[in-house]
Amino acid sequence: MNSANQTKAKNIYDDVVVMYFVYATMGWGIIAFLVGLLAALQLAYWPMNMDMEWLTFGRVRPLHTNAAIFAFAGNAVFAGIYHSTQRLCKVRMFSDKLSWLHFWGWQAIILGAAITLPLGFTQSKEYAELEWPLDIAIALIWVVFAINFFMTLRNRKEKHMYVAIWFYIATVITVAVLHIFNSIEIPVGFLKSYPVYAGIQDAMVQWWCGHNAVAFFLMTPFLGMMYYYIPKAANKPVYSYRLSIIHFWALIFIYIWAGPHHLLNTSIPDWAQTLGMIFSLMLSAPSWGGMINGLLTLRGAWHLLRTSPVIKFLVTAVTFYGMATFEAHRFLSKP
Amino acid sequence: MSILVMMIPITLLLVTLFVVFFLSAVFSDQFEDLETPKHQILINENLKASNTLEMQKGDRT
Repeated sequence: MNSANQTKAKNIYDDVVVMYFVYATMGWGIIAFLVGLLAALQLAYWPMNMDMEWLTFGRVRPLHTNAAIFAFAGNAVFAGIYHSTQRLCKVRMFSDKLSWLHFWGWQAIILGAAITLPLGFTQSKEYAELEWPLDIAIALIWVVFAINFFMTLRNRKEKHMYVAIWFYIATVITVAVLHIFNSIEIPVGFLKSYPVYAGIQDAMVQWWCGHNAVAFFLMTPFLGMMYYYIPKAANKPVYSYRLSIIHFWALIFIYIWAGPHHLLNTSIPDWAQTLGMIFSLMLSAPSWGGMINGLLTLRGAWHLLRTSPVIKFLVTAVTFYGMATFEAHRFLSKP
Repeated sequence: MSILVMMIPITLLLVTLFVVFFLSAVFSDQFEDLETPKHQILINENLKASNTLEMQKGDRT
């Protein structure tokens, strides 16, 4: 291969790691749903725990949520980010080694969770149950991902950063901060630790993290993907690019203050509860603005809903996102 | 509620970081043109497809 071809070859996007993330998404997805089914069956008929301590509801339920969020949705997020970032930046991911370290590291953490949770090793913090060695592993692998992602942005050949990239940036930074501060704990054994925060303080940090984990692990990356994949699937530009930019910045500045709405009518100060509620109400505007922007992108292309399975899934996803935002209004119910 | 002494500064730090990102994006003219970029991602895909073909041809030789 001559040097001209070599420089060209370097520009080919790395889609192998994307494929692996997609396969991992499908594999863990099936497992997560089966474990969820088992947990649901136990709610209706307790002997479904088969009289085995490893399969009792208290251990199966965190296994299900962790698998669904971090294995199923997590791998989907990484697949989407690796695939679209390379195309939006017109450049290959910064380092193949880091991409693969990220992939295998993440799968190893999931495997660790799948082993330790049924064995009963847990911190009992919802969505942050994993014990300290796995917490450290998550932090390290996330840093690997962050370096790979930001160096790719630095190498980009496209001057303008498409709105999807902004959503990914928010994901990478905020998840790192949340995970680190929620996981500050003192180990007292190989798989046993205590959080440095106590009582209501711990609850406050936990729900600041839990709330924002939903935002920045399950929402912003998928909204970024919405802004890339809906226009792609419909072959139509996004309805309003201006609205998408406003959507992003409004969401970022409002979302992180709404955590206390998970702790209404508890011993956290009244003003903090009210503050959380007001920010939740304010969130309706960017949430719905973004959802409507996604749906209006399909104006004049609604016939695709009949023929394109991709569009069917995307429309269902966006519609359900819009409906799910109503759940936040449940948190406005402080007497 | 002593935890707020830690949490509010951390959140403010995060917000400040995003304010810096926002201002630097505005001043580097990222948001000057809000019309072209949305068409760009659709046009470029076709360019990419031809590039990839070319690259694959190059690989075989």
